[in-house]
Amino acid sequence: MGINFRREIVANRLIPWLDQRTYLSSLRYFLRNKMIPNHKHTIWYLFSGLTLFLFIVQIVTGALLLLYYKPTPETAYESVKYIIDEVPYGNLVRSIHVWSSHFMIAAIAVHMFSVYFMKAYRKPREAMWLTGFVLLVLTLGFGFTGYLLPWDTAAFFATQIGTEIPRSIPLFGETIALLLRGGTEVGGETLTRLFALHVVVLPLVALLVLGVHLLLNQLHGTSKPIGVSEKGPPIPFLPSFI
Amino acid sequence: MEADRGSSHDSRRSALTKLLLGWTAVIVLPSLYVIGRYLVPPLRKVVQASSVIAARINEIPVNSAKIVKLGNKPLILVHTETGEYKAFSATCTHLGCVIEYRGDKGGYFHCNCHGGEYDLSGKNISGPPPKPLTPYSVSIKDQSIIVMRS
Repeated sequence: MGINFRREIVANRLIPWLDQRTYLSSLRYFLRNKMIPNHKHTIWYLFSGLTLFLFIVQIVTGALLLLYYKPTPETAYESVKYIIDEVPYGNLVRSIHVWSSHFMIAAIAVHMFSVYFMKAYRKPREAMWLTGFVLLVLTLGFGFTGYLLPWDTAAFFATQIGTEIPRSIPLFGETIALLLRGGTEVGGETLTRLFALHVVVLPLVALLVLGVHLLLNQLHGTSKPIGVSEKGPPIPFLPSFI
Repeated sequence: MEADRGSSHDSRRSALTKLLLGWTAVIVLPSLYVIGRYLVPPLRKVVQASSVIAARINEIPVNSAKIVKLGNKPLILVHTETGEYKAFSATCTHLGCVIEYRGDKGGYFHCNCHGGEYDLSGKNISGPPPKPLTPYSVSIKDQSIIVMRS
Protein backbone atom coordinates (compact mmCIF):
# COMPACT_ATOMS: atom_id res chain seq x y z
CA MET A 1 0.00 0.00 0.00
CA GLY A 2 2.91 2.35 -0.64
CA ILE A 3 3.40 5.22 -3.04
CA ASN A 4 4.03 2.79 -5.92
CA PHE A 5 0.65 1.17 -5.44
CA ARG A 6 -1.09 4.55 -5.51
CA ARG A 7 0.89 5.60 -8.55
CA GLU A 8 -0.12 2.40 -10.27
CA ILE A 9 -3.79 3.04 -9.56
CA VAL A 10 -3.48 6.52 -11.05
CA ALA A 11 -1.59 5.29 -14.12
CA ASN A 12 -3.57 2.12 -14.84
CA ARG A 13 -7.04 2.98 -13.65
CA LEU A 14 -7.74 6.69 -13.18
CA ILE A 15 -6.01 8.05 -16.30
CA PRO A 16 -7.52 5.45 -18.69
CA TRP A 17 -10.93 5.98 -17.05
CA LEU A 18 -10.69 9.76 -17.59
CA ASP A 19 -9.25 9.37 -21.07
CA GLN A 20 -12.03 7.09 -22.34
CA ARG A 21 -14.56 9.67 -21.23
CA THR A 22 -12.83 12.98 -22.02
CA TYR A 23 -10.16 12.35 -24.72
CA LEU A 24 -7.66 14.13 -22.49
CA SER A 25 -4.65 12.25 -23.86
CA SER A 26 -5.22 13.73 -27.31
CA LEU A 27 -4.96 17.17 -25.72
CA ARG A 28 -1.76 16.07 -24.01
CA TYR A 29 -0.44 14.75 -27.30
CA PHE A 30 -1.40 18.01 -29.02
CA LEU A 31 0.33 20.20 -26.44
CA ARG A 32 3.44 18.04 -26.44
CA ASN A 33 3.72 18.45 -30.21
CA LYS A 34 2.91 22.14 -30.34
CA MET A 35 5.96 23.80 -31.87
CA ILE A 36 7.02 27.43 -32.03
CA PRO A 37 9.17 28.57 -35.00
CA ASN A 38 12.73 29.39 -33.97
CA HIS A 39 14.11 32.56 -35.59
CA LYS A 40 15.52 35.95 -34.63
CA HIS A 41 12.05 37.40 -33.89
CA THR A 42 10.84 34.50 -31.73
CA ILE A 43 10.95 36.62 -28.59
CA TRP A 44 7.99 38.69 -29.79
CA TYR A 45 5.72 35.64 -29.60
CA LEU A 46 6.00 35.85 -25.81
CA PHE A 47 3.81 38.97 -25.64
CA SER A 48 0.68 37.03 -26.61
CA GLY A 49 1.21 34.72 -23.65
CA LEU A 50 2.06 37.69 -21.43
CA THR A 51 -1.27 39.30 -22.34
CA LEU A 52 -3.09 36.08 -21.48
CA PHE A 53 -1.22 35.85 -18.19
CA LEU A 54 -2.15 39.44 -17.28
CA PHE A 55 -5.79 38.71 -18.20
CA ILE A 56 -5.77 35.81 -15.73
CA VAL A 57 -4.21 38.09 -13.10
CA GLN A 58 -7.06 40.55 -13.73
CA ILE A 59 -9.68 37.83 -13.24
CA VAL A 60 -8.14 36.60 -9.98
CA THR A 61 -7.52 40.05 -8.44
CA GLY A 62 -10.87 41.31 -9.78
CA ALA A 63 -12.72 38.45 -8.10
CA LEU A 64 -10.88 39.25 -4.86
CA LEU A 65 -11.80 42.96 -5.07
CA LEU A 66 -15.44 42.01 -5.63
CA LEU A 67 -15.58 40.55 -2.12
CA TYR A 68 -15.26 44.02 -0.55
CA TYR A 69 -16.23 46.51 -3.26
CA LYS A 70 -19.73 48.02 -2.98
CA PRO A 71 -21.02 49.65 -6.18
CA THR A 72 -23.30 52.45 -4.93
CA PRO A 73 -22.52 56.18 -4.90
CA GLU A 74 -22.67 56.23 -1.09
CA THR A 75 -20.40 53.23 -0.51
CA ALA A 76 -18.10 52.89 -3.53
CA TYR A 77 -15.40 55.34 -2.46
CA GLU A 78 -15.52 54.18 1.17
CA SER A 79 -15.27 50.53 0.19
CA VAL A 80 -12.23 51.19 -2.03
CA LYS A 81 -10.66 53.12 0.88
CA TYR A 82 -11.49 50.21 3.16
CA ILE A 83 -9.82 47.77 0.73
CA ILE A 84 -6.71 49.97 0.62
CA ASP A 85 -6.46 50.85 4.32
CA GLU A 86 -7.90 47.95 6.28
CA VAL A 87 -8.23 44.72 4.32
CA PRO A 88 -5.05 42.60 4.76
CA TYR A 89 -3.04 42.96 1.53
CA GLY A 90 -5.99 44.89 0.11
CA ASN A 91 -3.73 47.65 -1.16
CA LEU A 92 -1.51 45.01 -2.80
CA VAL A 93 -4.41 43.27 -4.53
CA ARG A 94 -5.88 46.54 -5.76
CA SER A 95 -2.51 47.83 -6.94
CA ILE A 96 -1.85 44.61 -8.84
CA HIS A 97 -5.29 44.95 -10.49
CA VAL A 98 -4.59 48.56 -11.51
CA TRP A 99 -0.99 48.07 -12.67
CA SER A 100 -1.70 44.79 -14.40
CA SER A 101 -4.46 46.56 -16.35
CA HIS A 102 -1.95 49.17 -17.53
CA PHE A 103 0.62 46.51 -18.43
CA MET A 104 -2.05 44.51 -20.23
CA ILE A 105 -2.75 47.40 -22.58
CA ALA A 106 1.01 47.75 -23.19
CA ALA A 107 1.40 43.99 -23.76
CA ILE A 108 -1.51 44.05 -26.21
CA ALA A 109 0.09 46.96 -28.08
CA VAL A 110 3.39 45.06 -28.40
CA HIS A 111 1.58 41.84 -29.38
CA MET A 112 -0.49 43.64 -31.99
CA PHE A 113 2.50 45.48 -33.50
CA SER A 114 4.56 42.27 -33.59
CA VAL A 115 1.72 40.50 -35.43
CA TYR A 116 1.48 43.47 -37.77
CA PHE A 117 5.18 43.74 -38.57
CA MET A 118 5.68 39.98 -38.90
CA LYS A 119 2.61 39.92 -41.17
CA ALA A 120 1.13 37.10 -39.12
CA TYR A 121 -2.37 38.23 -40.13
CA ARG A 122 -1.90 36.77 -43.64
CA LYS A 123 -4.26 34.15 -45.00
CA PRO A 124 -5.54 31.95 -43.34
CA ARG A 125 -5.15 33.89 -40.07
CA GLU A 126 -7.37 36.92 -40.80
CA ALA A 127 -10.00 35.75 -38.31
CA MET A 128 -7.34 35.77 -35.59
CA TRP A 129 -6.51 39.39 -36.39
CA LEU A 130 -10.20 40.32 -36.29
CA THR A 131 -10.92 38.55 -33.00
CA GLY A 132 -7.73 40.14 -31.67
CA PHE A 133 -9.06 43.56 -32.63
CA VAL A 134 -12.35 42.83 -30.86
CA LEU A 135 -10.35 41.80 -27.78
CA LEU A 136 -8.44 45.11 -27.94
CA VAL A 137 -11.71 47.05 -27.97
CA LEU A 138 -13.05 44.92 -25.10
CA THR A 139 -9.88 45.57 -23.08
CA LEU A 140 -10.22 49.32 -23.61
CA GLY A 141 -13.85 48.89 -22.48
CA PHE A 142 -12.59 47.22 -19.30
CA GLY A 143 -10.30 50.20 -18.74
CA PHE A 144 -13.05 52.77 -19.27
CA THR A 145 -15.66 51.00 -17.11
CA GLY A 146 -13.14 50.17 -14.38
CA TYR A 147 -11.89 53.73 -14.12
CA LEU A 148 -15.19 55.01 -12.68
CA LEU A 149 -15.50 52.38 -9.96
CA PRO A 150 -13.35 54.10 -7.25
CA TRP A 151 -15.86 56.99 -7.50
CA ASP A 152 -13.35 59.72 -6.70
CA THR A 153 -13.09 63.11 -8.38
CA ALA A 154 -10.78 61.96 -11.18
CA ALA A 155 -13.00 58.95 -11.87
CA PHE A 156 -16.14 61.08 -11.89
CA PHE A 157 -14.83 63.68 -14.32
CA ALA A 158 -13.11 61.11 -16.52
CA THR A 159 -16.46 59.39 -16.93
CA GLN A 160 -18.18 62.73 -17.42
CA ILE A 161 -15.78 63.37 -20.30
CA GLY A 162 -15.92 59.81 -21.63
CA THR A 163 -19.70 59.84 -21.80
CA GLU A 164 -19.79 63.38 -23.20
CA ILE A 165 -17.64 62.45 -26.22
CA PRO A 166 -20.19 60.05 -27.80
CA ARG A 167 -22.78 62.85 -27.66
CA SER A 168 -21.06 64.48 -30.63
CA ILE A 169 -21.90 61.46 -32.84
CA PRO A 170 -24.69 62.48 -35.23
CA LEU A 171 -28.16 60.94 -34.69
CA PHE A 172 -27.22 58.25 -32.15
CA GLY A 173 -24.92 60.32 -29.89
CA GLU A 174 -27.54 61.28 -27.31
CA THR A 175 -28.88 57.72 -27.13
CA ILE A 176 -25.41 56.24 -26.63
CA ALA A 177 -24.66 58.76 -23.86
CA LEU A 178 -28.03 57.99 -22.24
CA LEU A 179 -27.40 54.24 -22.40
CA LEU A 180 -23.90 54.62 -20.92
CA ARG A 181 -24.97 56.99 -18.17
CA GLY A 182 -28.28 55.37 -17.30
CA GLY A 183 -29.69 58.89 -17.06
CA THR A 184 -29.04 62.39 -18.30
CA GLU A 185 -26.17 62.95 -15.84
CA VAL A 186 -23.28 60.84 -14.55
CA GLY A 187 -24.60 59.44 -11.26
CA GLY A 188 -25.47 56.33 -9.28
CA GLU A 189 -27.08 54.70 -12.31
CA THR A 190 -23.87 55.20 -14.29
CA LEU A 191 -21.90 53.52 -11.53
CA THR A 192 -24.09 50.40 -11.39
CA ARG A 193 -24.21 50.22 -15.18
CA LEU A 194 -20.47 50.45 -15.70
CA PHE A 195 -19.96 48.06 -12.78
CA ALA A 196 -22.23 45.46 -14.41
CA LEU A 197 -20.40 45.91 -17.71
CA HIS A 198 -17.01 45.65 -15.99
CA VAL A 199 -17.64 42.49 -13.95
CA VAL A 200 -20.26 40.54 -15.93
CA VAL A 201 -20.88 41.56 -19.52
CA LEU A 202 -17.34 42.35 -20.69
CA PRO A 203 -15.71 39.31 -18.99
CA LEU A 204 -18.25 36.91 -20.53
CA VAL A 205 -17.86 38.37 -24.01
CA ALA A 206 -14.07 38.60 -23.62
CA LEU A 207 -13.79 34.95 -22.51
CA LEU A 208 -15.87 33.84 -25.49
CA VAL A 209 -13.88 35.85 -28.04
CA LEU A 210 -10.63 34.87 -26.35
CA GLY A 211 -11.67 31.22 -26.63
CA VAL A 212 -12.18 31.61 -30.38
CA HIS A 213 -8.89 33.55 -30.70
CA LEU A 214 -6.92 30.81 -28.90
CA LEU A 215 -8.73 27.98 -30.70
CA LEU A 216 -7.87 29.53 -34.07
CA ASN A 217 -4.28 29.82 -32.90
CA GLN A 218 -4.21 26.08 -32.14
CA LEU A 219 -5.82 25.23 -35.49
CA HIS A 220 -3.43 27.33 -37.59
CA GLY A 221 -0.29 27.05 -35.48
CA THR A 222 2.16 29.90 -34.97
CA SER A 223 2.88 31.98 -38.05
CA LYS A 224 6.44 32.24 -39.32
CA PRO A 225 7.39 35.50 -41.02
CA ILE A 226 8.28 35.34 -44.72
CA GLY A 227 11.98 35.46 -45.57
CA VAL A 228 13.30 34.93 -42.06
CA SER A 229 15.69 32.01 -41.81
CA GLU A 230 15.21 29.61 -38.93
CA LYS A 231 17.93 29.64 -36.29
CA GLY A 232 17.38 26.02 -35.39
CA PRO A 233 14.71 23.35 -34.96
CA PRO A 234 11.30 24.58 -33.73
CA ILE A 235 11.03 25.09 -29.98
CA PRO A 236 8.49 22.88 -28.17
CA PHE A 237 5.75 25.02 -26.62
CA LEU A 238 5.92 22.86 -23.48
CA PRO A 239 7.85 23.64 -21.39
CA SER A 240 9.79 26.45 -23.10
CA PHE A 241 6.89 28.93 -23.40
CA ILE A 242 5.30 28.54 -20.00
CA MET B 1 -45.13 6.23 -54.39
CA GLU B 2 -41.62 6.59 -53.08
CA ALA B 3 -41.33 10.07 -54.58
CA ASP B 4 -44.67 11.06 -52.98
CA ARG B 5 -43.51 9.97 -49.59
CA GLY B 6 -40.31 11.92 -50.11
CA SER B 7 -42.07 15.15 -50.98
CA SER B 8 -44.57 14.88 -48.10
CA HIS B 9 -41.61 14.23 -45.83
CA ASP B 10 -39.93 17.36 -47.21
CA SER B 11 -43.01 19.49 -46.83
CA ARG B 12 -43.48 18.20 -43.29
CA ARG B 13 -39.89 19.10 -42.55
CA SER B 14 -40.24 22.57 -44.02
CA ALA B 15 -43.45 23.08 -42.05
CA LEU B 16 -41.62 22.12 -38.88
CA THR B 17 -38.78 24.46 -39.77
CA LYS B 18 -41.28 27.29 -40.30
CA LEU B 19 -42.96 26.48 -37.02
CA LEU B 20 -39.63 26.54 -35.27
CA LEU B 21 -38.70 29.85 -36.91
CA GLY B 22 -42.11 31.23 -35.96
CA TRP B 23 -41.64 30.18 -32.37
CA THR B 24 -38.20 31.74 -32.33
CA ALA B 25 -39.63 34.97 -33.67
CA VAL B 26 -42.44 34.88 -31.11
CA ILE B 27 -40.02 34.35 -28.25
CA VAL B 28 -36.81 36.06 -29.36
CA LEU B 29 -38.18 39.29 -30.81
CA PRO B 30 -40.29 40.23 -27.76
CA SER B 31 -37.34 39.32 -25.53
CA LEU B 32 -35.07 41.62 -27.51
CA TYR B 33 -37.69 44.37 -27.32
CA VAL B 34 -37.98 43.98 -23.55
CA ILE B 35 -34.18 44.01 -23.12
CA GLY B 36 -33.89 47.07 -25.36
CA ARG B 37 -36.54 48.98 -23.43
CA TYR B 38 -35.03 47.88 -20.11
CA LEU B 39 -31.66 49.33 -21.10
CA VAL B 40 -33.08 52.80 -21.75
CA PRO B 41 -33.46 54.40 -18.34
CA PRO B 42 -36.75 56.09 -17.43
CA LEU B 43 -36.09 59.82 -17.46
CA ARG B 44 -36.69 61.47 -14.14
CA LYS B 45 -38.50 64.74 -14.37
CA VAL B 46 -35.76 67.33 -14.61
CA VAL B 47 -36.24 69.99 -12.00
CA GLN B 48 -36.74 73.06 -14.15
CA ALA B 49 -36.06 75.58 -11.45
CA SER B 50 -35.71 79.02 -12.97
CA SER B 51 -34.16 80.69 -9.95
CA VAL B 52 -32.35 79.87 -6.74
CA ILE B 53 -31.29 81.71 -3.60
CA ALA B 54 -27.59 81.25 -4.18
CA ALA B 55 -26.14 82.97 -1.11
CA ARG B 56 -26.69 85.53 1.64
CA ILE B 57 -25.12 88.92 1.21
CA ASN B 58 -21.61 89.06 2.82
CA GLU B 59 -21.38 85.27 2.48
CA ILE B 60 -18.97 85.34 -0.45
CA PRO B 61 -15.78 87.36 0.17
CA VAL B 62 -14.59 89.72 -2.55
CA ASN B 63 -12.65 87.99 -5.34
CA SER B 64 -14.05 84.52 -4.64
CA ALA B 65 -16.95 82.37 -5.78
CA LYS B 66 -19.50 79.80 -4.72
CA ILE B 67 -20.94 76.87 -6.65
CA VAL B 68 -24.67 76.27 -6.22
CA LYS B 69 -27.14 73.96 -7.95
CA LEU B 70 -29.86 75.42 -10.12
CA GLY B 71 -32.19 72.51 -10.74
CA ASN B 72 -29.66 69.74 -11.18
CA LYS B 73 -26.97 71.80 -12.96
CA PRO B 74 -24.24 73.67 -11.13
CA LEU B 75 -23.86 77.43 -11.41
CA ILE B 76 -21.02 79.61 -10.22
CA LEU B 77 -21.68 82.90 -8.41
CA VAL B 78 -18.69 85.27 -8.30
CA HIS B 79 -18.10 88.28 -6.11
CA THR B 80 -15.67 90.18 -8.32
CA GLU B 81 -12.83 92.43 -7.19
CA THR B 82 -14.93 95.44 -8.21
CA GLY B 83 -17.71 94.30 -5.85
CA GLU B 84 -20.13 93.09 -8.51
CA TYR B 85 -21.97 89.77 -8.42
CA LYS B 86 -21.94 87.68 -11.60
CA ALA B 87 -23.38 84.22 -12.25
CA PHE B 88 -22.76 81.68 -15.00
CA SER B 89 -23.47 78.06 -15.67
CA ALA B 90 -20.54 76.18 -14.04
CA THR B 91 -20.57 73.44 -16.67
CA CYS B 92 -17.58 73.74 -18.99
CA THR B 93 -18.76 73.95 -22.59
CA HIS B 94 -15.98 71.60 -23.68
CA LEU B 95 -16.83 68.25 -22.07
CA GLY B 96 -19.01 69.08 -19.11
CA CYS B 97 -16.63 69.26 -16.15
CA VAL B 98 -17.35 71.78 -13.38
CA ILE B 99 -15.27 74.96 -13.65
CA GLU B 100 -13.75 76.90 -10.75
CA TYR B 101 -12.98 80.57 -10.09
CA ARG B 102 -9.40 81.78 -9.84
CA GLY B 103 -8.74 85.13 -8.21
CA ASP B 104 -5.35 85.96 -9.76
CA LYS B 105 -4.87 87.97 -13.01
CA GLY B 106 -8.04 89.97 -12.32
CA GLY B 107 -10.19 86.86 -11.95
CA TYR B 108 -11.14 84.17 -14.46
CA PHE B 109 -12.75 80.74 -14.65
CA HIS B 110 -10.63 77.63 -15.05
CA CYS B 111 -11.61 74.07 -15.92
CA ASN B 112 -9.36 71.45 -14.31
CA CYS B 113 -10.10 68.75 -16.85
CA HIS B 114 -8.39 70.19 -19.93
CA GLY B 115 -7.34 73.67 -18.86
CA GLY B 116 -10.12 75.64 -20.53
CA GLU B 117 -10.43 79.25 -19.39
CA TYR B 118 -13.16 81.90 -19.48
CA ASP B 119 -12.99 85.56 -18.60
CA LEU B 120 -15.34 87.33 -16.18
CA SER B 121 -17.90 87.92 -18.91
CA GLY B 122 -18.02 84.14 -19.48
CA LYS B 123 -16.20 84.37 -22.80
CA ASN B 124 -13.98 81.39 -23.66
CA ILE B 125 -10.45 82.82 -23.81
CA SER B 126 -8.10 79.85 -23.69
CA GLY B 127 -8.01 76.09 -24.15
CA PRO B 128 -10.53 73.82 -25.82
CA PRO B 129 -13.96 75.27 -24.86
CA PRO B 130 -15.91 76.00 -28.06
CA LYS B 131 -18.53 78.33 -26.57
CA PRO B 132 -18.85 80.94 -23.79
CA LEU B 133 -20.49 80.05 -20.47
CA THR B 134 -24.23 80.66 -20.26
CA PRO B 135 -24.74 83.85 -18.20
CA TYR B 136 -27.45 84.06 -15.50
CA SER B 137 -28.94 87.22 -14.07
CA VAL B 138 -28.32 88.16 -10.44
CA SER B 139 -30.58 90.19 -8.20
CA ILE B 140 -30.42 91.06 -4.52
CA LYS B 141 -33.53 90.96 -2.41
CA ASP B 142 -33.78 91.07 1.40
CA GLN B 143 -30.12 90.22 2.02
CA SER B 144 -30.35 87.25 -0.39
CA ILE B 145 -28.59 86.88 -3.70
CA ILE B 146 -30.97 85.36 -6.21
CA VAL B 147 -29.73 83.86 -9.47
CA MET B 148 -32.16 83.47 -12.36
CA ARG B 149 -32.03 82.00 -15.82
CA SER B 150 -31.78 84.97 -18.15
